Amino acid sequence: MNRIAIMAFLFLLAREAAAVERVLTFDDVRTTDLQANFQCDCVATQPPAGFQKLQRVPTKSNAFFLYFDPSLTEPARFGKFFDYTFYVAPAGANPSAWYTCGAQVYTQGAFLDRSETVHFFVSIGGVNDNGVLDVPLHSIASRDFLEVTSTTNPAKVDLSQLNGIELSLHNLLPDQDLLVDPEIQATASHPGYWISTANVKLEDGLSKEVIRIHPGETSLVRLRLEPQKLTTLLATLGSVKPDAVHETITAVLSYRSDLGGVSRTKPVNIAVRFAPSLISLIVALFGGSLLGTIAAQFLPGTWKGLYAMGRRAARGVVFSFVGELFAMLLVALGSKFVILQFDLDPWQFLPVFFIGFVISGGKEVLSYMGLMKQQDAASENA
Amino acid sequence: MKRLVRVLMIALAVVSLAAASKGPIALDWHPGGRLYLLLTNGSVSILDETSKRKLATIPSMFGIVPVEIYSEEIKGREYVFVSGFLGRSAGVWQYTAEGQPVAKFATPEQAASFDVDPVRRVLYVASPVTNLVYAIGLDQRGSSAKRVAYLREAEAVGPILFDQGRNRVLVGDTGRGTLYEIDPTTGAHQQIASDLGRPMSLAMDAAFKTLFVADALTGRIYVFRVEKGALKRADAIFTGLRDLSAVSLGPGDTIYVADENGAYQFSLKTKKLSRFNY
Repeated sequence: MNRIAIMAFLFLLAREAAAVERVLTFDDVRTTDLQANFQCDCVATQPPAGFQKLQRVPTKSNAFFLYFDPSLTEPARFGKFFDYTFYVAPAGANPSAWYTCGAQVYTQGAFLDRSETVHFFVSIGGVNDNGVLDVPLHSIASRDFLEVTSTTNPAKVDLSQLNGIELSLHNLLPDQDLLVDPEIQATASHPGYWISTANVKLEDGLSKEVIRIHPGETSLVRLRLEPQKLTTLLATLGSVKPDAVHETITAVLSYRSDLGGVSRTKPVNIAVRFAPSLISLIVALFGGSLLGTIAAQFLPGTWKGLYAMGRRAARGVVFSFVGELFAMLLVALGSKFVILQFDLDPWQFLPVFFIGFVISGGKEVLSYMGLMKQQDAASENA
Repeated sequence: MKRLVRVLMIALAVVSLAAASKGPIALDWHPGGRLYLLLTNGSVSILDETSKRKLATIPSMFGIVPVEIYSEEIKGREYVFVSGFLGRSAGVWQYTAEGQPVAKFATPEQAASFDVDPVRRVLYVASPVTNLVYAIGLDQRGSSAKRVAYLREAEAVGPILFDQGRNRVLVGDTGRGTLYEIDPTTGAHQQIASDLGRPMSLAMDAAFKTLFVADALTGRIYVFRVEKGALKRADAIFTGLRDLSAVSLGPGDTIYVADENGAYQFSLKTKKLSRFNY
């Protein structure tokens, strides 16, 4: 008989435990740009694992504690609202009862994800109390929380160092971290310039799992895209202008705000300019210088023997290097490098070749080619 | 000593596996077909139903939040449909059973819960934003969503199921814990059940006589049976699982269920769960 009574008692207890109660309620949040509505259902449960580490606030009269695990917050499976998990327990060292409260939080408004102080009420066994808690609120609207720019425009891709493209990621949220997925989707206007545009990743040097950007902060990351060195060098051989764009990459970044934000994507077009390796620039300068020297030797009355040509070639190489270094310095300082009215980039293959050719070939070669006359005529007209 | 070390190693492996794994979002099976599980990262695990051996994986789609999965044999060939959303846009993607992409159906207003009428070749989707239920022809390309019904009183439209036996569309409301029945021909609808907690998934048996509703709030599966052409609540099975995410028909007297930790085959006779890997 006793056993039956105990069984019946346990059955009633279990049934009671599984019943859904309105233990916890929240006031609606209403600000100029944000409205949030909380709908809670609580079930009597065991204490959550590691509840000592959870965010905890007492009610005003210290009758209860409200525990909050923001890491369990997530967008609802079918969209529209967010699922939050709260725990309620009477105050005391060993609370007699614990309640796990699943809350559906509906948000509306033109707000960016942020934390708000919300007012809550607890009612258990005829005891009522209330308190306030800071809760991160998320938006389902399609708004950008992330600003992406390349650190230089156009973004420089060095063909000698496989550093990828440096991007600057800025978190627009006032008080929540952004979590950026390192895996991105990349498409190129010239896919042949790259070894692969599949499985491209962002790297910030800290974590491989996720890139975390604190509120209002900017993080520098590298887009790991490896160029086909020779193909790219040959394809951009004719590029002379310092601001010319060689390639456009469309990168789609996936990110979300921390503590349960909705997954979002941010497409960004990155203008790319390839910078040849130092070795190819030296080869271009040397080649241009040698060609200029040889070309000068073919002019009437110029040939004075091999020794003289050798001296002239050596002099031409030295002056070409000095000229190239000056050009690099001036352009780096923001000046323009203009030869024969052409605005040249001393970091590109063809302009460097031209610098070597012009300096080593000298005035005679340019006059013979007719370039000096044009230059003189242009000066006179000016 | 060796035995003790082995036991400890196994225990640690089990604990780490349990800690690392997260249960599937949705799963689906139909007689003669494979078992499909939609994982939290959006990829689909295709298993042999009997041996639970993994046959293939459909990779996830970039940036898409996965929502629902459904498999069906259409014109003698098995297909799997996967849905998801990104911001306010959503879609349903159709694949072969081997994971080859077949078609994509753009759905309106974040409508990512869906089911298929394989006979009329119609995709039914429900929008949580507008509470509208749409029908999309599987053979039509482009924007072809036709409005079927407007569930004005619904709070958060969730799972949707097409009852082939009675030609009715069933929709669960995860906000109010209710179930609606829609006549897709006329658009007329009515609430047929309440107090379902948070109905996250719906499934019917092969004969379309029994409906299973998974309640994520209490871990119960509510059983409805068709009596005189209407669904009547018959039972509530307490699974003991937390955050039930999916229920699907299983072979014999079993159903497949999933929760936040894993996937299980549940015996309706013995009420026992057996977990399987995916």
